[in-house]
Amino acid sequence: MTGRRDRLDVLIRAYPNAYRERRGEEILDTLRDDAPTMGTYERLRVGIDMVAQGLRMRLGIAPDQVMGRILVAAALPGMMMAAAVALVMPLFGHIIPDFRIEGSWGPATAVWPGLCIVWILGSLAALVFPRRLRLIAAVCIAATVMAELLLPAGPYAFPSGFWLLAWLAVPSFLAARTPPRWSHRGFAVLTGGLVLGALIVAAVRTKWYSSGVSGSYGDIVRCAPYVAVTLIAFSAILLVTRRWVTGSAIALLATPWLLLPATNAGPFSARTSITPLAVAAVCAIGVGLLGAWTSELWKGRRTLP
Amino acid sequence: MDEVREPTFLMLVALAEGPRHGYGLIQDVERLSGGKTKLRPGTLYATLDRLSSKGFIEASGEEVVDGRHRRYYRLTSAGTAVLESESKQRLATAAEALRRLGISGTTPRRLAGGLS
Repeated sequence: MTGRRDRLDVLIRAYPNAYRERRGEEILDTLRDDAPTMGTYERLRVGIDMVAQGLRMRLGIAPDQVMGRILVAAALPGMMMAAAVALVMPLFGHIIPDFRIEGSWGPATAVWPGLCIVWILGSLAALVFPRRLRLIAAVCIAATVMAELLLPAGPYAFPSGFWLLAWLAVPSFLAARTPPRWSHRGFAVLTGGLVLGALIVAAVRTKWYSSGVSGSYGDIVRCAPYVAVTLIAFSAILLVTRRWVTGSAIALLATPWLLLPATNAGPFSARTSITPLAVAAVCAIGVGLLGAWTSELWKGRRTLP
Repeated sequence: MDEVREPTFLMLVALAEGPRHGYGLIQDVERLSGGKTKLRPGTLYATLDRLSSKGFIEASGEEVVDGRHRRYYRLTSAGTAVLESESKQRLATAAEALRRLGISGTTPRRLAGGLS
């Protein structure tokens, strides 16, 4: 009993403090009333529902905002991916290989890991303190610009892997503050345009060869096309089965993995592996999503939950 | 007016009979839908907040039963009007469907009018 109570208390922490104080006990007691009739699967779904609703509330997104729901769905996995990239990139991409092979260990190589940490903390802070979003975004952007300006050219130039990290954090930043006035037309066009733009860039810049991949942070770069194709496949399945929100969120998260190999210039880079067919499929998904979002939202159609 | 989805409609129907607390609403909605709609607490309270912010429902009292806190909700006049309008529309659609299937001789207008 105590264990269950602890688990329920953990679930309710997904909600903002103020809401928890006002409604927390009521929600928990309703949950306790309902719990005896639930099976394991239903308990899991109730837990996911609670976390999703708490997150939505923290982000200040109304449940009928389609784009808001998509961004909420993308924000958490986006941050998890960003956290994984932030860990892999400095450890296995920059610092260790550079230190071991190129002997270039020094203050400059620590800048990118530092910047990764700034972005990760920024993403988390955006969720916890959505009202401070502008300040948090300003800190992340300023840190990025300063790093770019201060670092010497050459091996320390802006790595494309960093764009992957920054892009994955975008959903959480966008979701953290969805201005109500933007929640329909403008925001749909903005986000849809970003996704479509990323897909077009990936399609235009990708070269069609698939061997000879190497690079100082090649672990991420080499796996990016495969991650992209996997995400695309999931997204396509979800869209075909009319799970628009989840499918759209995954399509949003797939874009940086496509973008990375396309933007990673250099003779030994990994602008590889994604076939034209895969890019064409993703472009079709992007165009479809943009069309669906804009047409639905342009009609001003709103629904209660 | 915004479209009213099925769970929201069922909640309004449940509240039409009188004030309900959260768990009571979950049970009533499940019963009304023949077990097809099962509200989860997270969604339930999000919907209650939304309906409350639109002025369709309001809190009507609180009590503690067996150590558990319960807050009751009831329809406002605006909520009653929305439920009536939505019910008439659904009834008219259902009656038209039955008429086209040749199952019922009742006209939608008569059925819908019977509510008011």
